[in-house]
Amino acid sequence: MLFPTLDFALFFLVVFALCWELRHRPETRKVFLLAASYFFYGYWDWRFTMLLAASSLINYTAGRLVGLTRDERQRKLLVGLAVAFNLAILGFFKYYGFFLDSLADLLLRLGLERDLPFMEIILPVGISFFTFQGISYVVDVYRREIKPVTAPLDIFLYISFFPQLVAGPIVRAADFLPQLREKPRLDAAMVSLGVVLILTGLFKKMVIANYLATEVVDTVFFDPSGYGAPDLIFAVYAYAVQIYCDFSGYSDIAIGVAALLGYRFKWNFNQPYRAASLREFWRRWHISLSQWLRDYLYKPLGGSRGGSLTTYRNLMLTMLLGGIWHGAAWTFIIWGAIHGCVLVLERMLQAVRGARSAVDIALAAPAARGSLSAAAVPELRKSGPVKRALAVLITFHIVCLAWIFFRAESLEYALIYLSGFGNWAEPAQFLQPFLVVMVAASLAAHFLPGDLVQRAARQLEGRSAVVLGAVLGFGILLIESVAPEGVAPFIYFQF
Amino acid sequence: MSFALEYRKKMQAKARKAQRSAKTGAQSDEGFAVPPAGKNADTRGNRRRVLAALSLAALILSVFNSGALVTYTGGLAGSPLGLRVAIASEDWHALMEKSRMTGVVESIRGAVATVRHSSWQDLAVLVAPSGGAPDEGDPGSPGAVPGPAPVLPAGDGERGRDLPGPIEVERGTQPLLKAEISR
Repeated sequence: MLFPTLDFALFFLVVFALCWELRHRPETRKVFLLAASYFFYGYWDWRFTMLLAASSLINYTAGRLVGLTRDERQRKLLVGLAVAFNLAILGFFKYYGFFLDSLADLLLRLGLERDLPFMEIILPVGISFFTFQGISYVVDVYRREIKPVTAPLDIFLYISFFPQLVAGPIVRAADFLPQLREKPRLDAAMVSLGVVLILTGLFKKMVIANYLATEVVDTVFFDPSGYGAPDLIFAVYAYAVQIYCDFSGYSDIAIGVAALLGYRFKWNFNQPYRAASLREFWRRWHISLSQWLRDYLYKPLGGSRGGSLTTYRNLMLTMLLGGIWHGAAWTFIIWGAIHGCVLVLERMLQAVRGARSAVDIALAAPAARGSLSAAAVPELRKSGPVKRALAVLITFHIVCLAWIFFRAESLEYALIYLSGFGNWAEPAQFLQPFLVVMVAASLAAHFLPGDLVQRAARQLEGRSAVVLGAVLGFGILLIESVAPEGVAPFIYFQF
Repeated sequence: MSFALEYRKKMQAKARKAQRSAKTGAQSDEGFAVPPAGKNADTRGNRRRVLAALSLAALILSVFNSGALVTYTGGLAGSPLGLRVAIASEDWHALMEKSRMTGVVESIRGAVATVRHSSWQDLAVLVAPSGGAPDEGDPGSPGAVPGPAPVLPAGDGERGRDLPGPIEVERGTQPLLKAEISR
């Protein structure tokens, strides 16, 4: 069931009405929301509801056992088993075919062809997301950051809650479980923010992402050898905007829908293309995933606590695995590798700058020594606007380079795409005003104040139902009128 | 050795913090998109407000975008009840067309189509109208019927793959999302 469809609108209307009717009976409310979430998930394929239930059961059981066990070695063993189970499920559905394809290629090159047990495996929607949520719950219990939940209903609902089930945000148990124990409340701020987020999410997805996908990106990436450098460059920029609007649009709708049901999620995007470094980019892009990777992969590997080489190794591993998480293809691995390499390079530059600053302090005039005054130490001054603008530009283009691999059908296509940047003989076909203005305006919007959504929501707070209904109704009408025909699936459903 | 002691202290502090927040139910608000509901939140009133707003929004959409209802209910025509619903929505759509309510959406779509197919020359004419009237045969000129979409290059037949068209799925339904792991 996709968000921007009449099916979902009818489903949500019923869920909203009934779940607030049940607000004085919290357990019944949770059962109802759980049933609604399974209905939502089963709408794609009812068979995968069993997978969802199995994943929830594994994580609930593991959480309880880890909570009851006092022996540290046994606790560690239990959490290891739970993580292994989760990753085995994810690995089978997501990487079995890739593994066999790669093995078959390798055997062919070595002249050792074999009949391998190929299977057509259907990828369950959202498996990466709910698997990661389950792992985060068990690990948080092991780390004693949260208490294990005794009621299975809470864990089942946490893992399957429909607004974030299929494409995130990856919600932490510590953020969501306490909300399940509180009495559900709905105030004017939640209502207005919910409505504004749903409208902005629909606009981003149905208008911007869909137009760019159908008018530019899909065509150019399908056959990059047919286009010259201007179109190839423009298509990359268009894809950068498309994937941002598609994914952040979904997150906005998910957060808005959850808010209307009385639950709070964290922001998942924060104007990522205004980042002046890749490190900053990852604090603004898919925040829930980057924090998950930081807390459950990077830090357990040692983070930056070891020496420089260990830090660089941990960064590379984290980003490579982050790439693999997105999909079973070499293009995703290369995407992760590009991000990893640049993050490592940034760390190296930071270390060099830090060493230089220390030298400057040592050589500074006696009056300034011992103080970290920016006037005394030029390196400590904030970078000026020109320097920051350049850094933003460079970061954006590094991200775009990586997006080529992320979007390309295969490694071969990605290389053909890159080789096309030398072809300036072909005239531009896609640099039409409508598309250029759409891309330019979408990128420029990253530099607007970050709290515009909250400001817009405050205007709606406390307004009557007529005003709220008119905003919602005419807003959706405008979006429907402007958007292209049809409903495209969200990009992140394939992960 | 000191690292191990530091790590142990950190883990114990975390455990104590988790116990404290579990007791008080306190939760950091950092990073949340929506602030917590106030203790005196008028849940009942807000629920009514939202239901009324959703109903009004549905009415607005069914009046001004009645064509979408026809598209959606067309898929239900397999059963007797579904057929009745489909016929009813067609009658409703005919009534809205007669009352010119659907004209709003059509006008907006027409305007968007004009903008979509405009060229840079059309924009230049708008900005500097004294620059000369555009050729009537220019498919991008305002008022002209938009020409056919750009001819897309043929795919490589040897690869045996079809050019994907724009994703056109009936509104109200979702496309098939089953995907092979084919990369």
